[in-house]
Amino acid sequence: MEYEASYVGQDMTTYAKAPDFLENKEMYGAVGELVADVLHDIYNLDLSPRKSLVKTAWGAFKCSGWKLRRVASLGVQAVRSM
Amino acid sequence: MENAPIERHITRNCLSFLNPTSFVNVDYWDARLAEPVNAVTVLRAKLDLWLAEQCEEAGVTVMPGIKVEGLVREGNQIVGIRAGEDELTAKVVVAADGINSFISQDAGIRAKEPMKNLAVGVKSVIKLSEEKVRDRFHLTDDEGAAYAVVGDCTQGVAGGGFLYSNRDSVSIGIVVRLDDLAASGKSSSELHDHFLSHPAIAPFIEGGELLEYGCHMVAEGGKKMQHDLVRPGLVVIGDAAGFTLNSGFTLRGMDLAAGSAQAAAVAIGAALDAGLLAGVAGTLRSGV
Repeated sequence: MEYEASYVGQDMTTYAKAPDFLENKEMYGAVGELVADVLHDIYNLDLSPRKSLVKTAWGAFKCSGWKLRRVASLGVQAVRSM
Repeated sequence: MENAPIERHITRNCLSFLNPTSFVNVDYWDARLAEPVNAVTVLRAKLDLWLAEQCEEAGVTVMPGIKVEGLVREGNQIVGIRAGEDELTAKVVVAADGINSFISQDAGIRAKEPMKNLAVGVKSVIKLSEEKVRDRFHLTDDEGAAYAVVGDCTQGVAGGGFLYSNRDSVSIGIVVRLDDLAASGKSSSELHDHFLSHPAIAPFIEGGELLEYGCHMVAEGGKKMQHDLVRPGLVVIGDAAGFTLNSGFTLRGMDLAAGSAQAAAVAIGAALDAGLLAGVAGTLRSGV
């Protein structure tokens, strides 16, 4: 079909998995909170000794209630569907 | 593009993860997006009128205010449409009747879409001034900004928020998936109001005047909503065919609608030239 040869059909195919990815509830709250928590620990200079970026991010992550496996699986799904 | 009523050309795209008292944005401005211009903001109230004028100049008869109620058939072939007691015959009917597409349902192409595949958008257009729009979005001249927001804008309901800068106004609102909205017990207008009053968002529209407030249903199912788009004498395009995309970074519908319309026009033109639309159903199916 004509539309399949154009960007219309091809883009619909490229993003065919996006709706399934966007069914992950974490996208609508938990992801934003996690990223803000990591940045908060980086920017909140409260006179406590600074840790490395990785240790700071890991600390925020551990307090967040996320499981590493879940983050990894979301990341993989995001990359595959977008 | 030179003559179309465009509001601003988009050089700034902001992806925003919004929480109740924080946000993390990927804020991307690039002068390269101005040359060539591939994304613009428009106001449909102006654009649709202009498009209708272009059609009439090209010899099309536009008949507004008439509701198409069904299809007219001769055997398997669709040969026209019915509006009240009137019938209009045509070699091809092009169904561009939006997300619910009663024509597609009448043609047996699909039943009502499940709520999982549908979302409702609620939008306000808020008047400011050209200067305020430039100041608040950090723009120069005719540049524009497009925000795609996720998180507290819909209070956890699957969907997102958007802001688009027009010449002297802002289009702002939310889109939420119908099944998740129903499960949440919230209303779309309540979520819309919450977004507009969020402390990070309210300053964009402070002191503005509400010009328009409305809602629009959109497809969320992606490619799996592309049911067969052709029947003998019928082609389905645009929202009616499910051509909308949420890629996470942008929401697309108008470009896909226009692209699908162009593809349909090329296919119909080729079929007309080859004399394939004389009435043989099988030939039409394979011809396009």
